[in-house]
Amino acid sequence: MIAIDTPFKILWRTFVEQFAANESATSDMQMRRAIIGVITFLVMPGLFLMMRTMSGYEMMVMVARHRNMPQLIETFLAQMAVLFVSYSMISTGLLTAFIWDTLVFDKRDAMVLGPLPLRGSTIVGAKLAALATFLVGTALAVNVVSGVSFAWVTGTLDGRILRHLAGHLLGTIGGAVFMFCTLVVVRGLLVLLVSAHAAATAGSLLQFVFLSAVLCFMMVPTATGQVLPPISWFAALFEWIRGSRVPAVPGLGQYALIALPLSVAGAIAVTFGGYWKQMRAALAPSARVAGTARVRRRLAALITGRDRVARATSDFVLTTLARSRVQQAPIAIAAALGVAIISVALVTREGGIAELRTPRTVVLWIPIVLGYWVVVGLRASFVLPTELKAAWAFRVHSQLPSASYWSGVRAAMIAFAIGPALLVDALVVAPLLGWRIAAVHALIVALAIAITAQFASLLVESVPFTRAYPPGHAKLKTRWQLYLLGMWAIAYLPVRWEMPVLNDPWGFAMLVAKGLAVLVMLEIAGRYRARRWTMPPDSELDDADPEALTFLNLGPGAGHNPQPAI
Amino acid sequence: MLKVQDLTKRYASITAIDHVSFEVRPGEVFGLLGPNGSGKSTTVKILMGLLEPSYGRVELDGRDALADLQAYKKLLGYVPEEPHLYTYLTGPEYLQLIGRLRSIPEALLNEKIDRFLELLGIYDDRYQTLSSYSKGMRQKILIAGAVLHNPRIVILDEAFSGLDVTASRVLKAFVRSLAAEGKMVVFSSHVLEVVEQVCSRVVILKDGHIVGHDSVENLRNTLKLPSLDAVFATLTDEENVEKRTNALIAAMHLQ
Repeated sequence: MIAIDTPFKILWRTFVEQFAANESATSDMQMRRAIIGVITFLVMPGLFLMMRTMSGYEMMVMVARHRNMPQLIETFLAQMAVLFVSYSMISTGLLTAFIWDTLVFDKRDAMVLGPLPLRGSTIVGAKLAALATFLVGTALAVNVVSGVSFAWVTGTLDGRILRHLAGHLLGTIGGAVFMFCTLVVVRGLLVLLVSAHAAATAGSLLQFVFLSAVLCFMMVPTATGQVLPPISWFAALFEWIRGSRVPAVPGLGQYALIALPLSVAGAIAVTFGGYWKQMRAALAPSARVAGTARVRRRLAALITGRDRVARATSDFVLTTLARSRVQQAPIAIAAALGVAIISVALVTREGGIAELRTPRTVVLWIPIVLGYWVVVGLRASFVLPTELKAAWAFRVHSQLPSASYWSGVRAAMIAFAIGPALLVDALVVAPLLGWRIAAVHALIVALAIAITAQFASLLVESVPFTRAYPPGHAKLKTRWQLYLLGMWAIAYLPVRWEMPVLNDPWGFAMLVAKGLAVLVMLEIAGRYRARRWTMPPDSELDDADPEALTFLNLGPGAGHNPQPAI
Repeated sequence: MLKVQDLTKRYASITAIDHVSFEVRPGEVFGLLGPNGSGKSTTVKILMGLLEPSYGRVELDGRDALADLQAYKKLLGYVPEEPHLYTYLTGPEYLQLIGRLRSIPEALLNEKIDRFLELLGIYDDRYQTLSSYSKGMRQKILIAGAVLHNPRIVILDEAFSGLDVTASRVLKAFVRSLAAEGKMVVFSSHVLEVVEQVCSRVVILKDGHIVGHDSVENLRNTLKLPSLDAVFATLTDEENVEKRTNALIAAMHLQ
């Protein structure tokens, strides 16, 4: 007898699969690898954190015993609680940001599930169960190992291993649940009260923020300072259950006990609300061009000049980047990496805050490093397809061979990356070093970004987003040395050359002239290389692939319906 | 004149079209008919320069059109069978993309887009992304994109699918007017009534071969049949429709 799954089970499985589905994962195997990769990425730093804190704890125990000051151990344990809770909340936030689009019901769910004879409670229940599965899976993966180790090492001292374990798990997992539910609520409210487009845009921003936080957590030595809510609430819960005798702990911990069920209830409510809204009014996102996108398109149009094909290409690239979340993710990831590198450089430098007020590499390179990594992210996003079958428009209307497509892509890259870099120059360099230096430095920043974009465009060989994702294309994890070398050449060296000539107009002009000369050379190389550009293949009927043919035979007399000979 | 000579396309051991020849004259709407798998789409794709023929030529005004593909493509307008579009773009944005790829001057392009949107009744939806458009609205965008650059040759592959009755009537008249302007129109469709109304001559394909090639009227008279539908059924040896229908009903009732 064939066992038939219940609708609830089928829906639950489908919703769970949605968390890992995207256009760049071309098979289930790749999807599973991606999930395992992400969880490993988050579990390993947790283990590293645990080892670091445990060795510190052992040292602290010895010091406390030697000095007869047991309160030192309590203070250290409280710091450990903050670290574990922070890491749990940030890593859960990051994972949640990566599945941002699937947190609540969307138009596609409404269109597919709407006509089916399914009860609303079954659909919402399955969605909530899928969300819970994701949450439990990630929270346990990130926290259980560190929890057991923590309890084993710290609990043996006072013989309360189970209490230490309970404190760790409730604090960290409670924090993770709170973070997850809060993000579900934010996503749901954005859809319900603002627009689906605003909700989608917020996803990339959150990916950037959480990834920056995780990377900083991994790279930057732990800084002590005031702990803010909600981390302080869940760290207090951790400490309260563990048995801390600090008077403020129970009060703060009670906030966690209030916030946790509230966030869960909020998540359930917006899930119901989202379902209700999508089933009644399938959202059709309006597409008014946002201010930043308009500025970028104008800047790209300035770079492309009168070349209409180039302008079409740059507009296409910039609009896709503005509206397609799949393409935004690698940019957010790369930019977060840039932020982490900047943070490490700032934290590990010698000298105090006052020294940042003199022109130094660690300050001047900030906008260039960020711009460099944005370009790296852009280059990575280009290989991710969007609306693959719509690429016929480029095949039909193409005017290859032409350097116009390359010119458009190059212009889009410069227009996209230069804005954030100049903004950071204004926000970071100007307050620290003054407006004059910031304005002069803006020239170097613009040149460096243009050179990076020109160089990166040499590595592009077709109109972005119009080809199927080539499996295993991402090379950052294997060729990171090259990327770091690039950053050294693009961000570090120019700043080192710039500093001695900041007050020497002639020297500065020479530096700019050299930069322009590099740009001209890259321009020539780009136009030469553009001859190798190709159009996207016809996905419906590829000449080179007879297996791409699909024949539908409706009957013996239905006409010529041959099957390809394989 | 567009002349197709001995066009043949083979995929490994499969011959999709075999020595297909016909001409499309300026000022005529030429119908391309055939059941699924007969080779219509392959023919259209070769005519569009999207596929290279294994054998045969496509001539335009006596010259090999596929030899200078870029020049040839500039003269073509194409409405594909499937409305695959960048759904996150708005209608005007999509037409801007197409118009700029065709190097239409900016001011002229914007004026054309506004006029097309108004005439096709989708101006009020200009700020909506194509994802929210109905199939008919998307089809209208594709049709506008195909003729935006005033092409000499217009290839329409199931161009009327999804259109409402009024839009279909307007576009049938539009297709005839295109021909009246001296353009060459290739019209591939399954809807035989529409083909009968708009096409002056047709070619009927079956198994990659031409089984009928004449004006609709001549085909009807020669075969002494009342409609193009009947001509099509006879020439393509269409199976008894009633017998097939009964078999489908029986399959549906399987318990």
